[in-house]
Amino acid sequence: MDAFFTADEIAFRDEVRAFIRENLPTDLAQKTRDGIHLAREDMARWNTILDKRGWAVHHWPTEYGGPGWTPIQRFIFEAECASGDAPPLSVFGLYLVGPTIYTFGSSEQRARYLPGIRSGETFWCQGYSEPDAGSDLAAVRTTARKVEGGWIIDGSKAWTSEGHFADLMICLARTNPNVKPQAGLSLFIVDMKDKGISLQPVITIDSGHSVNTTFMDNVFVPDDGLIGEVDKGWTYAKFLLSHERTNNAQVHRSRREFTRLKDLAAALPGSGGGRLIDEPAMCRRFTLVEANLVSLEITVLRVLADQTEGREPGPEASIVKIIGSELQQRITELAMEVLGEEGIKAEHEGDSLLAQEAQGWTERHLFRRVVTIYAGSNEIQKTIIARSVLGM
Amino acid sequence: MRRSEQTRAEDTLLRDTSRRFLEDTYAWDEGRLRRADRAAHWRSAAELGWFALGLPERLGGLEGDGNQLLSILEEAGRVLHDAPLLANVLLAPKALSAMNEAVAIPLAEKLAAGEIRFAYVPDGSLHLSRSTMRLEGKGSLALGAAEATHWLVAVGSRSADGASLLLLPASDAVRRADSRLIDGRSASTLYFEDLAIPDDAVLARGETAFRLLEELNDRAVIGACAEAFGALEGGLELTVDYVKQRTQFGAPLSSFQAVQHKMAESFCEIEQMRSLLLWGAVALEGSPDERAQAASALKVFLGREGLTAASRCIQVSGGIGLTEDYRIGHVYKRLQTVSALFGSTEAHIARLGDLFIPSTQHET
Repeated sequence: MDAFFTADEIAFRDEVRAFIRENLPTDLAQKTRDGIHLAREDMARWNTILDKRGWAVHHWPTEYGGPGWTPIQRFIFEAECASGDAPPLSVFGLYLVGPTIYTFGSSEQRARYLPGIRSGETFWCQGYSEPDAGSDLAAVRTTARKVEGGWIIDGSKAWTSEGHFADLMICLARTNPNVKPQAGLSLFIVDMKDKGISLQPVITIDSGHSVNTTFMDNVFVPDDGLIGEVDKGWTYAKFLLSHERTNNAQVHRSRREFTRLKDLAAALPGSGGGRLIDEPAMCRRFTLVEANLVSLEITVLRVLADQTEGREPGPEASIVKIIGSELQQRITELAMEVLGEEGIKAEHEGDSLLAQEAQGWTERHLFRRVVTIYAGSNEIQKTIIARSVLGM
Repeated sequence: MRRSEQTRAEDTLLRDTSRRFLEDTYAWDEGRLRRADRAAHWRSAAELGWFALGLPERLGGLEGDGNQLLSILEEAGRVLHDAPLLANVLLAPKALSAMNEAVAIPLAEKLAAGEIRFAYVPDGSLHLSRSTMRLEGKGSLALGAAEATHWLVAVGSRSADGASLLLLPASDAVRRADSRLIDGRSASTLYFEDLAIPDDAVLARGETAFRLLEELNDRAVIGACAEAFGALEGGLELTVDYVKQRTQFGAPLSSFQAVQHKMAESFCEIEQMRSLLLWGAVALEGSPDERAQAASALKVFLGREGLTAASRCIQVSGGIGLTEDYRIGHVYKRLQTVSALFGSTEAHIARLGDLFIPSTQHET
């Protein structure tokens, strides 16, 4: 795909590649390869390294500390981070909360919260979904009641990823029950150390703990914890979704994982004595995934090129979540085929290549069932395409 | 370089002009073949510069880029064009560029003016004897060979040793089995039986020819996929319009979520194909490896996801989708045709596998 990049962009890629090679600690790269749920300190360490170079908030405007890159440069940067096995940065702080605060927050909120996100010192979680408001986000029932000097929040939030180590939550709560469901919601900044907050771990099918149910009982949020205007929370949430459409595709992670899987299948013996990857049926499956992966990469690049070159992205922007998430699952499905019987063991013994690789792939495979469900399930995305793009 | 289909102004102009011309003079309907003056249509296409676009300036051409050339083929695909544009828009200009200028210039002029027509004869089992200079064997299906004045013949394309590219005047001395394809186009199988080949008919041989034949076939693949893509994109629009109008159970079909999701899925596939086509367009001028990858990826995608997208359009159209008078079935037949030409889907999967998955076994 080199034909798609300018000489300047290729030079930029080399610069990023060299930086990662020299600055990413090897133990962090190894941890990134081993598992899917990284510890807070590990993510923070890499965040700090990037921040010193001025690259942590690479998609933020320069006035808030961004490096002023084009969307294509950000694509290249993210691709290089993924291929160098750099830990993923915290999605909520960098992608969700930061842009929400610098777009809709007050200048006091910007000064107070953005530096911590940029440096990696503060961790955020997202409080949007609820037990009865999953894909149907407008059904949020958590309430925020106005009191002297602030708000009292009551309710519960579901699927709070990283909630057990987050400092703060961006929380969608109902401030007005007397208007249509979308119109009465507001966005708040909630301190996770508040005594009214309790968490219940939710163990996912990969046996990991990354998500929680959060209960909020009489949680006080001061007036300066409201983001923007009251009752505008839905508009803010939607605005952000429309500006971070390509992130959900996880195209760089998929490329990296697919490369690793290819390497694994090339290192394992096939039944006929040669390499597993050279068995015709296996080779065919890898090839078909590759064709889909490259089409995803170019589709994402089209969206970013439009943004870089000052055009409004076309309707292809609406498909990247669907095709990106389906592809992530196809890659780990193929991994299970590669692992064979080793892949179905709950624990892996020995130091064989298979045993070492199996744990991570099996966890990823199981946990990745989530990607077609979260961030607006793929069925919802299809309905949106049918209605808003095809006019059905 | 174009990384988005939203391209600069002259591209849009070219596309719009092409679309208007095709819709005014060659819109698809069941009576088109009876009415159309195909010779006049070809001359008009020449006047629009379609055959000069791919030629370099030194051959009097307009030196258009890959996106511009493919946009013409896409637009032709939208109206299910049945004339052999592919060989004349995308392949002949490349072959002429590789020729001795003294010979190429007059041919280029006539191509640009629409006075001569080329057909591409892909290799089947062709063999040219170096010692006797006799050509033996048969070609694969050659679109528009019966109406062409010149044949570009790919010989011995499997190895550098036996490869050559020939430019032959179309001749009745060569046995030709003409076929009508399921998508309405005409193609022929050419049988060469000990035909004497003059030296000056050999445009390239050996390693040079091998690389040129790969390039021509990749161009054929990318161009044919552009035509098929245009057909498919038009087919989705037609189908979406139809399901908005067709009422069953007291409601338009487009209000049913099962129908909506099928159309959204086809839309996803079409957009991915458009992405691969953008790659194909830049890869036309890229490295041989990148061009081969783009061509095969496109062909694989067309033969799988593309055909699936088209078959969904028939499904949601219901019974009318099965009728010869309605366009969507012809879109499907166009895709089915392209997926069989210039190497099957499985052949391109195998080729892509060789390119993408470095194999120790293949290195020996």
